[in-house]
Amino acid sequence: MPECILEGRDICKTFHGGFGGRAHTALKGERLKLHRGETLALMGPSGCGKSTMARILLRLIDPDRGRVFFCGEDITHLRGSALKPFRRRVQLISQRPETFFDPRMRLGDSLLEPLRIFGVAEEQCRLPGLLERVKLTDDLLRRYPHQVSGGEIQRLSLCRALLLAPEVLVLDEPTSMLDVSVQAQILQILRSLQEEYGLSYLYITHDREVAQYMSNRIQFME
Amino acid sequence: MIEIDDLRITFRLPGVDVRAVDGVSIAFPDSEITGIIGESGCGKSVLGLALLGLLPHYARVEGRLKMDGEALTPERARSRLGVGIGLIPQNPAESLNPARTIAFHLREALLPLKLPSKDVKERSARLLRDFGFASPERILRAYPHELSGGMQQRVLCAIGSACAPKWMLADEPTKGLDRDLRDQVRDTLRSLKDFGVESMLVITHDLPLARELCDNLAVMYAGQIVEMGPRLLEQPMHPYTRAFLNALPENGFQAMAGVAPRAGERLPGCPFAPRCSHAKPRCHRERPSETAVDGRIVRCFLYA
Repeated sequence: MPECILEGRDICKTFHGGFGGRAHTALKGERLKLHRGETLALMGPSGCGKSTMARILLRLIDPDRGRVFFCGEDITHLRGSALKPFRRRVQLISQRPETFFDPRMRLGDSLLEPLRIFGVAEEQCRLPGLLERVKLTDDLLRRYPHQVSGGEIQRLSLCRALLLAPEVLVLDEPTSMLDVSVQAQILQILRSLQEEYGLSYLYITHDREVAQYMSNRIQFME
Repeated sequence: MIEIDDLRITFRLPGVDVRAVDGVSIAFPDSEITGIIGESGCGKSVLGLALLGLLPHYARVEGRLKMDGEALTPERARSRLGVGIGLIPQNPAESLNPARTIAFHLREALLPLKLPSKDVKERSARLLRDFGFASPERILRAYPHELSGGMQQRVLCAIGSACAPKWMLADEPTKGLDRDLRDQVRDTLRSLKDFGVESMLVITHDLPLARELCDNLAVMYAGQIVEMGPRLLEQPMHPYTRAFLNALPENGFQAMAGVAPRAGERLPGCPFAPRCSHAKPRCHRERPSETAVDGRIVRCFLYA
């Protein structure tokens, strides 16, 4: 059995002050285990708490109860700089990649921003190779986010996430806003990147066919 | 009937002219659901915006648009918005004003009917109930961010059909929705006929939706209609339509080779030629014209 790389144990989360001022319980003791090198598809209808689970596992929001483990270490209560190594090793790809890029920055600058944050020299990263792997050319880097298509910006966000050589990608509906031909292209790229870099994917989707195509295991949420 | 004749829409941007729609001629018959399918960036939404008179001022429009025999100028199209042609826009979250309640949106949509305020409330609630909301009063008080994506989409359907327009234009109505919600939206669109909508144009890249909902389909690529006719997805003829269908899950998510022409890039030959496995030297030099084959119109030298 491969090592468990990312785990959520008995995660509970309730949001307060929402619709009609009432509390909304998104997660009630949810568990999830992602093993190294696998793709786990997390499925369920809209509003079932898939994305909330992902945000908790990414330590973007805190659970009310339950714990998050990364490589066996309890990271539930880590804060600030203590979380920085984790941030580098676990990256998020979103359904709406355009919201991940500053509209006033050229895509090339946005792409290299994480390297500055983590103090990685540009020469050390694998940018030219990665651009080629995601089937993009470097003329795109001079453009602004509104000047590229949905498929291109999703591939750029994939490229940016991979620059930091992460171990886990949390993919939150990465192709649900794209048309079928671009979706097929992204799925092929994701599969070949996983093979090459030994990545682990937590793949959130509501599309059964995509889940079956991409994953080793499927976990359903109600 | 909506008729489009040799429509060309060009956006003049700094340093480049982007031709989003490149010589489209098509007729949308009454009482039918016509689907326009194609990849993002192929010009299908721009075509829809032209019918609504909602193109930005820097768009240059050439060609003729007619609705029920009369020229459809942008002014006329805008004056008929919601009454003659309803719109169900894409990106529900961005189409609703985040600072206004759903009641406000519906009130605004019902303005052309000049109803007394008591009736407006009643009509709003009834519209929401028709579109599957069990407790419309609660939804009327809600702000857009308090609703899920599927709920927002249904609210937009309610807004679009508030004045019972004869035509409805649905722009990517199922984008980003899960299967259950997609099926709900499809059923909602089908049920629009009960609310006075006679004919519909569905702009989508959701091929299962197009197959289940539409009587006729037009496939767009790089601003042109490359194939149109009924039952087009069952027996595709144009190489692009075939390649597009190969990307479907049931065909194993086969990615199409190459990339679509960039905005502003205008190839001398068939725009699909660089990606086409059937391309011959002629395809790179000349543009194929429309050919009628078996009740279908195809723009490809394979059938010329």
